[in-house]
Amino acid sequence: MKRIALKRWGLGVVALGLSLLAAPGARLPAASADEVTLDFWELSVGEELMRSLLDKFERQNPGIRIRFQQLSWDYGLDKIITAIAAGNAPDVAELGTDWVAQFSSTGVLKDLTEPLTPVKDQFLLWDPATYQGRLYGVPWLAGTRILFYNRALFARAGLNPDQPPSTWEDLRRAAKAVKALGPEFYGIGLHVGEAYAPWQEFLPFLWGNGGEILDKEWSRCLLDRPAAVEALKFYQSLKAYALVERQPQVNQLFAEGKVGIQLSGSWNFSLIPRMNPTLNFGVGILPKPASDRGTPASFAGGEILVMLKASRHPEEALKLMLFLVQEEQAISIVEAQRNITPTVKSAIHHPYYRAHPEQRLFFEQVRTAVAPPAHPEWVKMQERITRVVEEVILSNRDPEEALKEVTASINRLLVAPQVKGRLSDAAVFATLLALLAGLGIGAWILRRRKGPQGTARLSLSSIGVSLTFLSPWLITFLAFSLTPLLHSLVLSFCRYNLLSSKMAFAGLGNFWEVLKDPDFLRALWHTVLFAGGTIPPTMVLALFAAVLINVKVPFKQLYQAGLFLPVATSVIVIATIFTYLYSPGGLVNRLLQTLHLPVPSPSWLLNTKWALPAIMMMNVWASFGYYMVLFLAGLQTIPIELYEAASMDGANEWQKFWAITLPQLKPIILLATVINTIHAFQVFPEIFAMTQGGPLGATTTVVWYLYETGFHRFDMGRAAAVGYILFLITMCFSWAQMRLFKMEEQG
Amino acid sequence: MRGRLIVAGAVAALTVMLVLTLTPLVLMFTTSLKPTGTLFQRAQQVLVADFETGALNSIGGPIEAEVMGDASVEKEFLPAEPVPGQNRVMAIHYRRQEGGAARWLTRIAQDMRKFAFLEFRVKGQVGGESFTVDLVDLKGRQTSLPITQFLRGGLTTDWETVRIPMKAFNLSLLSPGLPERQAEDLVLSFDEGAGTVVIDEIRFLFRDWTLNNYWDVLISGPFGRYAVNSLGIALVVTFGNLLFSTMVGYAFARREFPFKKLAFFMIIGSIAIPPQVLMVPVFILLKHLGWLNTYWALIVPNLVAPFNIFLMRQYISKLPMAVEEAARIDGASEFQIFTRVIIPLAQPALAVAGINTFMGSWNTFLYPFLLTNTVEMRTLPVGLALYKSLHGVDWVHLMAGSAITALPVIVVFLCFQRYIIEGLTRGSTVG
Repeated sequence: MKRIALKRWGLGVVALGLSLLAAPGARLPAASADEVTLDFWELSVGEELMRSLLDKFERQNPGIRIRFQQLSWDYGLDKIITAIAAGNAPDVAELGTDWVAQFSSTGVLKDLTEPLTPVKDQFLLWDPATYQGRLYGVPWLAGTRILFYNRALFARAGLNPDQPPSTWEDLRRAAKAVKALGPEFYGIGLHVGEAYAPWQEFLPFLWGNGGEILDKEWSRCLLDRPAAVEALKFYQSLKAYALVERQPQVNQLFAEGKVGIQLSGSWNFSLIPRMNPTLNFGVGILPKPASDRGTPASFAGGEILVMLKASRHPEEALKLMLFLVQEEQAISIVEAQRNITPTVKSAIHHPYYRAHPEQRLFFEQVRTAVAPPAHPEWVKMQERITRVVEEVILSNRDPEEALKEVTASINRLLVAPQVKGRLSDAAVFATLLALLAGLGIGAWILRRRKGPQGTARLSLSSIGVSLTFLSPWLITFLAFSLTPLLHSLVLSFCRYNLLSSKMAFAGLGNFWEVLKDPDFLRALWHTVLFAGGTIPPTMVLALFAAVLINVKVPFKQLYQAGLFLPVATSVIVIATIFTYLYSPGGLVNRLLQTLHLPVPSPSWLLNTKWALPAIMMMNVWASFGYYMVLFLAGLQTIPIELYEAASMDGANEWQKFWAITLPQLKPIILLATVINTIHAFQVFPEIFAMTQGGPLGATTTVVWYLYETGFHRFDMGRAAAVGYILFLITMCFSWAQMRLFKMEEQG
Repeated sequence: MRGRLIVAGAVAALTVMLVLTLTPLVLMFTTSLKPTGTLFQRAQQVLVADFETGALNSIGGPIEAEVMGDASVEKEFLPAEPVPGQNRVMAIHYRRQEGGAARWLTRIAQDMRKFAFLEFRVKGQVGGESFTVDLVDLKGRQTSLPITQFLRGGLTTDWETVRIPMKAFNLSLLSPGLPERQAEDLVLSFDEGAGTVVIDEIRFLFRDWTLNNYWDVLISGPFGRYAVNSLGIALVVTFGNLLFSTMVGYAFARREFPFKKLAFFMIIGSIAIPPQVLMVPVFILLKHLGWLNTYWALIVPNLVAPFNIFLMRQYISKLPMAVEEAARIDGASEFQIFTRVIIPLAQPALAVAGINTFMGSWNTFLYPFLLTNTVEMRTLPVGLALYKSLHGVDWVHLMAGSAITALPVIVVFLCFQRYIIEGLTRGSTVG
């Protein structure tokens, strides 16, 4: 396979270089010829327990080996999508209920209607696994949202700690009473600033009130109906007593005993004791609109096991799926995880539920819980609903108007045509090859026309020596920069659905659409703001520190090393620490309060005004040390005589700095600026780890926009176009700065 | 005098900057040493039950009784000082005969390693003199201590505060094979006879500082493997970059060949390519090579960073030609000149490139995240991100993992920082 691929790529040089390296270790040897190996990817169980279940399966089914991978919720989906796109998908995977429709509609899942129909009666939660009447997966574990409340706060606020609120009015009254306990307390936690939690927490109110998102035929959106408006208005009215934050922060402040009520998932049962073992909390089912009407609806989600169409061992894969959903396995998962519910109906009679009566609450809630429509465009719809909830909560938008707008935009989604047509891989690779050849020939002709130059007289052996020296770069550049660059150039002129690999020529359509997309222009503006807001302070701070260290302070090494430390720290580590520092009870707010300065509300990373500056401040903190060292090095090269001469002329330190230090450092300042500009334009991991582009798109930078377009909306062609636009912008900047260099050198 | 003032001012300003810069990192280290809690809040104790709110214990677990054979256990809430309407204690009435069992238990689900003491208040009534305190894990394995070991002569009708050091229990019996010493239930097992025991304010007191978080993530968790991967990859990538970028940089600085300008332009250009543009094509390419989830994918594409080539080219072109020419006259071949002359002379720049590459490789996230699939292949930042999303805001372990991720680079920098400065100084006319 390797050889064919490379031939297609037509890079003989690469093949030569790489085949030397590729030989060992690339593939594990198969244990025996008739043994079947299945790949299974899973998100919600955890490595240790899953392995023990799979070991049991392997013992029961000799001849089947399971290679299993633990994914996480934050990044798991990205991994599954990338793998499918690369044709490297597992045989069996766990998918969240809201994703199944989109996967089944692109045709990457195996239709399991025939084998699953006989067992259908034994399980719950089939709706999300069904698409156009066919079954594409088997429900595994169900999850729902219930109400968590702080019993101690309830008691202090004069509420009955044994009775969670059961109607909307109860809920509001309880939230108000807890809020009245003091400024550091919040009646209820409302989730914003992320993809799922906002709609998952709001929609139960809508469903409970008799509302729906789509009509039965999926032909119209019903979010502008009175039931929906009423629900959102009520939800908005909770804001007065609410902590408006991302889910982890709500969970955390709840665990710290600052929040009266939150609507949240089962993870809190293990999370709260870990964060604050002393918290005294209770649970209840979600409230209904009034005691005489509505239902205590909740969001029904869960885990579906699906088989990928590309699986080469469908029989064995099905065996694995049916093994995992059995009562025994499901219960042992529930036992370890606490409070997810098995989908297998018989589990209710299991001794575990007799021994843990408080957990029957989940069964009760699942009965009235509603699953969102299994429409292939649901992911886009949920994004829009999330945005409406955030607008209404964060920016006080009128619910009726906001819902009208989202209804119109979802209606447009319902009629939007899907990408069809397909360019074959061969065509793409042929184009790539032609482009590469074209580039080569073009360069050659250009040379020819310029006529022989100095280098033309070089002997072959001299060129050979040069080539040997250049070969490491030539090989990696051709293979890992130029080829992918051209590949993505081809993609940028096509519509390319990452998941279904459907491809169609689109000409300049992608570029045109991107350039007129207001979201892109906003992302570009944010990126420019980011660059403009981080580069000057970084440079000034770095220069300031370098000059100070250079006045021969004692313990020079200590300062130098200390200020550099953040540079040596991984962005993921820094993002983790700063997420906490910026949280409502975090260090930054505490400092501001001590100084009697106002604190932004909602808190930093959720505040549309302050989220981007907060990340910018973090970025300056994390990077100025690098440039400081660069400047410090530059300072050493300034001849001491210049300063001595200036002193003789009676110049003070300030004058010396402006007259000598700054001009002498100019080249190195320019170098630092180029590096810093490139980094600023590529800012991504910070956004990825901290805000995911939110709140309300306030931290969407160009690279995040690219990532979202390609990996969340699967629109790889458009993402490639964004990449090229960004590339051109960065090139322009670098080129301009290089010109400046040149002028400096010559002048 | 003025010179001193300036130095004093500089020291003051620098110290402020240093404190601001180091605070987040110091918080990371101190948190990683706590048994539990958050960056700022540190729990002193876990109150298991004071019986004030409802039928559950203070952690939210049920309070139950278990009997076998001819025995009984009854629970009763009694009003207590100081506010009889609010404050309550629990009286346990038990009766047990030979061969039976009478147990009072409550769910705690705590890792016993975090605690220094188990503490509770207790008194006996009507013959209730002694019982054993048991910690039981999920599978029913237990470690027990008789109360008489801490209250000589058994219970009296006066309140006594019992404080049992966790060391007195044989904790290794609990959940063997797992890193945690997880106790699922706290059990009081009563001796033969009948009587009443009254208890209140059962609590576990935390230890002050602990290295457990490090052991958890390193030894029993996967961070040990992640660290080995990160180190191996970073070393190979660094070595490769040192060798290869010097070779390429040398060619650009000293040799003539066709398309030199174009090639150099491409090197500069590829510094500016956002890695996200290439993400999917690179992924597909590596898949065709069969390199996904192998070290090859994490090493080979990074063996020659364009920025290092740029750096080396700038440095080498500033070196005096005289030595090379002398060597050439002595009959040295091009490769001998490279290995014997250029590499030794380029050492300061090599130090810079080396440290930069090492740190970059150690900290890089996006590509390792996309290209690896299993525990065996993950690097530290990828593992840390995964850990973060799997374990919520489990700050103490997260910070221990962060510290493990951050420490090696910090050490490398502290060891080599002189080199960096020196190297940059000599090469700072770059550009």
